[in-house]
Amino acid sequence: MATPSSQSSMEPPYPHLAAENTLDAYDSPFQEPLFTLPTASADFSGILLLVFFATFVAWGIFTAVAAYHWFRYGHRSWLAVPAVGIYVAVSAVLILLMASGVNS
Amino acid sequence: MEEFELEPGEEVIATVRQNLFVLALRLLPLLVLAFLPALLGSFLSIFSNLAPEAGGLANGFSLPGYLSRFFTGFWLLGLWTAAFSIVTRFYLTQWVITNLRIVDIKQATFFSREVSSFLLIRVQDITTDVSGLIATLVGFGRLDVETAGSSDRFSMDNISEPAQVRDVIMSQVAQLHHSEQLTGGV
Repeated sequence: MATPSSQSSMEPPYPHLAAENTLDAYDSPFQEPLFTLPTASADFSGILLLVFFATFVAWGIFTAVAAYHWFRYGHRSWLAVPAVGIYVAVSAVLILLMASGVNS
Repeated sequence: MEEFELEPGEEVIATVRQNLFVLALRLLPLLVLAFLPALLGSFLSIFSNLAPEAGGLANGFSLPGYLSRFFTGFWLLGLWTAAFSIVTRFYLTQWVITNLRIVDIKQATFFSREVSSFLLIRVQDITTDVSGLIATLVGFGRLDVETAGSSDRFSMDNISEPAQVRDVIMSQVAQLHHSEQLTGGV
């Protein structure tokens, strides 16, 4: 489609406006918007990192509380150490899975 | 035991917890939720095949690989944490039967723990209740202990073999009464 600037050798589409400088009107017919919405290609890495750290902190607090309960109220049960150990091990795998999504 | 001190001459006879089948029932919804992301992906795939003209809608729900890993890890971590919370509360809720008393320990939440003691010498009635097909087959039920006093009554819900627990308590009560008779109640 021919732009107004490339129509120097052609007859302008609006002869009655040819004498006026209408290029500025074509470039910015509207005012600049107050804000713009994020585009589909927005970078989520910062948001994912924030969510990851918040999740890790919450998980750490819960783990500390749960481990305290096992060792304080477990009445010296032999099951306390394996239970907490298995929980931390599986949690580590899942946290690594989350981390692989953050670093990609 | 750190939580309550045993009296001189007191020893732990048995520790009773709820049946493991009850724990499995509580964890079952979490297990179903763990498979939800995979089921959702399969459903969208089937939907897009059945309705090709709406396939674009199903494809719109697909996530990039890294986002899929992140949200899957996040979802499973939340479910795993919830499961460990259920297991912890299950294990820390127990009834300790000694030769002198019954200690009722209820871990309602992480920051709500109730400990009650009932003297065996005050036990008057014990009632067991195993209701339902599954409870009968698996072998768990309810045990109610009534003690002397207007409001002294406590229950053990969903414990394994409540009849055996009743027998243990009654034998300890009988021994206490017998020893009281021998000592003349001193």
